[in-house]
Amino acid sequence: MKTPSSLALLLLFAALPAAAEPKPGERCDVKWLEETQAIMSQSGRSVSDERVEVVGNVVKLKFGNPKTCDAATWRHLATVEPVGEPVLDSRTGQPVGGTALRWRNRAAGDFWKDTAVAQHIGLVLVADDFFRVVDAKAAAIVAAGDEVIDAAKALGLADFTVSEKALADLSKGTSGGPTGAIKPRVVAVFAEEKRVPATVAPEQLGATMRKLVTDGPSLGDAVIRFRLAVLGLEAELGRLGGSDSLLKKRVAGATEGLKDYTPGLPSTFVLVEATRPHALAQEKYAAALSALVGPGTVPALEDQGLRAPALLDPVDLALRNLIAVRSADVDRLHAAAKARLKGQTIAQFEVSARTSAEAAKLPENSLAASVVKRLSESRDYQQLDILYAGNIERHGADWAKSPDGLAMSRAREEMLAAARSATVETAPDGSKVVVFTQGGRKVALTSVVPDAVEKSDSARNDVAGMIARYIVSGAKEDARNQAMWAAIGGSGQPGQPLDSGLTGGEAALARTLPPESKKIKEGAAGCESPKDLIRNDYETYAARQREAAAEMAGDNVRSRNDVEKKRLEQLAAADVACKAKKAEAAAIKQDYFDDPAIAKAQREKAAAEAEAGCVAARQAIEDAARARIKELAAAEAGDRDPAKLRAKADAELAAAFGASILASVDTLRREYTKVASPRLKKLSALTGGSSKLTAHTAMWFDKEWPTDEARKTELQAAVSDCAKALGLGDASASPSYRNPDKPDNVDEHCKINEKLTAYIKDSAARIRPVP
Amino acid sequence: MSQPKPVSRQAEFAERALAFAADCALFAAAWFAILKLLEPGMPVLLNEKGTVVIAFLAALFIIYQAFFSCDGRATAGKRLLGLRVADAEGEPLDFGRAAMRSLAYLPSSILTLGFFWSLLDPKGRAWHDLAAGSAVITDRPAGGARGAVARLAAGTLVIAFALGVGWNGIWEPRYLKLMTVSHAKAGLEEVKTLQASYHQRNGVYAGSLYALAEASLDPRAFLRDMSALYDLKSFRFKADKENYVVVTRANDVDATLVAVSGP
Repeated sequence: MKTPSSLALLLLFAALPAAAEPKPGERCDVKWLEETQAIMSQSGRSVSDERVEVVGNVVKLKFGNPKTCDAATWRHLATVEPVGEPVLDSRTGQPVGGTALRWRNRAAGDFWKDTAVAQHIGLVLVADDFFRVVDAKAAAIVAAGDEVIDAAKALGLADFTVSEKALADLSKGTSGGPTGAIKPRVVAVFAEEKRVPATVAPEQLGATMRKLVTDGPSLGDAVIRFRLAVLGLEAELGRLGGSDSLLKKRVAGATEGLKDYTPGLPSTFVLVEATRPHALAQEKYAAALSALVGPGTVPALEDQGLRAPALLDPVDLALRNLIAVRSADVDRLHAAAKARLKGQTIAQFEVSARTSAEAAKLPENSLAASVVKRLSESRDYQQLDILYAGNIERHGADWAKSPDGLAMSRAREEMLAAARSATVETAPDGSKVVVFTQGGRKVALTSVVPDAVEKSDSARNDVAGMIARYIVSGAKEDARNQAMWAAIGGSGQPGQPLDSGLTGGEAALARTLPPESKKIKEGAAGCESPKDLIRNDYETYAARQREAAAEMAGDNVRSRNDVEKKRLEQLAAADVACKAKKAEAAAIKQDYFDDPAIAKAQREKAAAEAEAGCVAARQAIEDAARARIKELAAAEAGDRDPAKLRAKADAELAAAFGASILASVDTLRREYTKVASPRLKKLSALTGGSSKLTAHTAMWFDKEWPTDEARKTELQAAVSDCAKALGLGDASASPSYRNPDKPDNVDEHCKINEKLTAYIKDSAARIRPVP
Repeated sequence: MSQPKPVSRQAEFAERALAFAADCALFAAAWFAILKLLEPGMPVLLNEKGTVVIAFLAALFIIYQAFFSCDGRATAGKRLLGLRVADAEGEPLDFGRAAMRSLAYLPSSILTLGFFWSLLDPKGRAWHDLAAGSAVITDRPAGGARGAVARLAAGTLVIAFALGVGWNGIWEPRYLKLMTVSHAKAGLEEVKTLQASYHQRNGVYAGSLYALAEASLDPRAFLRDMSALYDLKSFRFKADKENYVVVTRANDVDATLVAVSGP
């Protein structure tokens, strides 16, 4: 929706007071100058040439509005020069005198000496000085306003058209001159729902937005420039107020018709009224100033001694209206920029815009585009992006090549790549699933209904939000990014050591960990299931369960650790005592009169006794500790009723333990089927050798440890049996525990070698040829 | 001689809050009992079926409120406080209006605004009263020690309710995470002890969790506890004769990275 036309507003401003204003005079028409110029032209010169004194017949001057005349033109008739000091008028308190008119054209001087026309010219020259300064200030205002409007257009917040007519033609209140040539802009601010694409380059987005608005309550740079330009004009008008008074006093004796030629300076505009304390003491001035520059800026301006906006009065009416309309436009554009930020910081806005540009490269309404968009809205991604861009700005482009810069860049790219990879995948059997790939791992969201994602915008948006959260959490937990996220958290800055909370060795090892994906597996279903309505409750229950299980385990660990530490200390003490006894045994010396064999026998006996004592002591310590552990286990089991939590922990343990067993079985499979490997040689020796040994071995492994999906149940049974054999069966089996990571343990305790040997022998017997 | 008919008055917010709390307490007890019957071994706060049971009981609560708000009946809580639901003339509601009033509990429950509306309404009506054109009235006199006690109790309940909502939505998730990580860090102490034991026995530090379990007095319990504390697949070991480093992820919602190194 377009806002009310600012052109109409401008015309309204111009039309209302125009009725009360005197009609503007005719444009500058100096016949004499024209004729003189014609004469001068014949000699190749101009009246504007300051080196040439203009001569010729004196003709009658016809003054129009002096502001529309070129200053140089007037100055070729005469100049105003300072003469002595102005004196204060006793009645008005204003300075009088101090200047004199010097004619360039002697004939004209003589002709007009002591006439009103001479005073006219003196008056006009002072007025021209006045307007030259004012015009420059007005141009600065218009330029600053244009900058605001251009920035808003580039950001897609507004558009504008340029009026066909110049200000001088548009409004009767104008006195012409450079400001009269300005063509006003008609600005249309777009409402949020009609936003148009920004045309500014993404890297310039923030800088452009900062022209309109900044983080916090401040105005944008260009808006402030506009306000200051307005105030600059006012200050200049205030300064010129004194000149204005002087001007009027100097021409006090002019003829009655003189007032028609004055530049329209208001009689009320005097220095006394222009002073800041006076202006601000009046409520309407203070309110106007506050409205113009914003309440936060007023105190600063007061300190600078700037004048109130009421001082704009002496500016011609059209320019004043132009500034008023432009000021309203700047206000609206500032408000629109603020609304566009939607509470974000500009840095966050830049991130959103950059990522929106990424999303725009993807097919419209695709899941990937939605995920990219939602990712850009996440706080963590924004922080990362802002920090990355900010560091490049602060430390230069080379920072991006530093380890920190590369880490951040990689993390950003990986997150975006993961977002771009989100899609609905169709399997060969026609079934569909929502997937995305992060860190080389494809994650399938099996609980999300793919059809809904494809057909429903809201479902796609919700699922996109979920995937974006997964991506962010996955990236945050990526061990390689720990230090970087710590830096974002404020614990380290580029160029300084990053504190990830882990020591050097720990951090190095942490970098080998893949991105965390467990949470994703435990994540709630998609957004099409009724369960999702209460998803957070389930997540809370899950978090409670994890905490309860951890508390249970933590209690167990603490009490068991006490026993284990005590055992360790006792064993260390026993070792010391044992070594002392053995040293004592070794120190038994030969009696002078005895046979050396006697001493040797005594030493051996003492050493044996010491060793036996040591073993017994160690065993006693172990037994006592084990008994204590059993007591603790029994107490813990009776202490609470965490059966389900224990079962869950057991299930996770069994799965992880089984994975270790399978890894060892794979190793064994390779070693048993590898020609000339020690295991194969040993097997060959046990089975008497066979030309088909490796083939039979491979067949046995396929039979007993199948790898195809269809026989998964058999494999699980084999793994379960093996886990029991390795001591994971129940608590009573604990003392017989064996490490499943060691292939030898699996080979021996899961009886792979034994069963394989039997199978080979049996196979060899079956294929023996009948004689 | 017939007794003069008692003068009814609008029930105070405090009285209504207490009556409602009493009714809720009945259903909370039912929630507890149902969950205990379904899974006796599982603490109710950990039971994932809790939400479903709450949804079921909420539906039942609406029916209960509808049935006991018409034809002169009163819910247990209202009966306890001497309250009853009536129309503008003080007459009992019919079932249709009572049902409408009961169903209007749903919008009233949005941030509980509809219930607290009765504090603002000149006639003390909640949203569900406005929907059904009903009022909660009582024949008991206002004020006195009873009124003061009711207001004090209701105020306490409201504060407790607000704290409960804050705990559940804001503080509890943070607490759960912190505690889970805290337990995980305690678990690393056992890892440290077992590394020392393993080194004492083998002259080298353990290079895997399962090897470390060999040094434990109860390997199975140790591994199970590790599984409750950490993501077992995340364990990474770096060990030799001199040093060891163990890194893994805790089982908290953010799978926080934890590590121990030594000796």
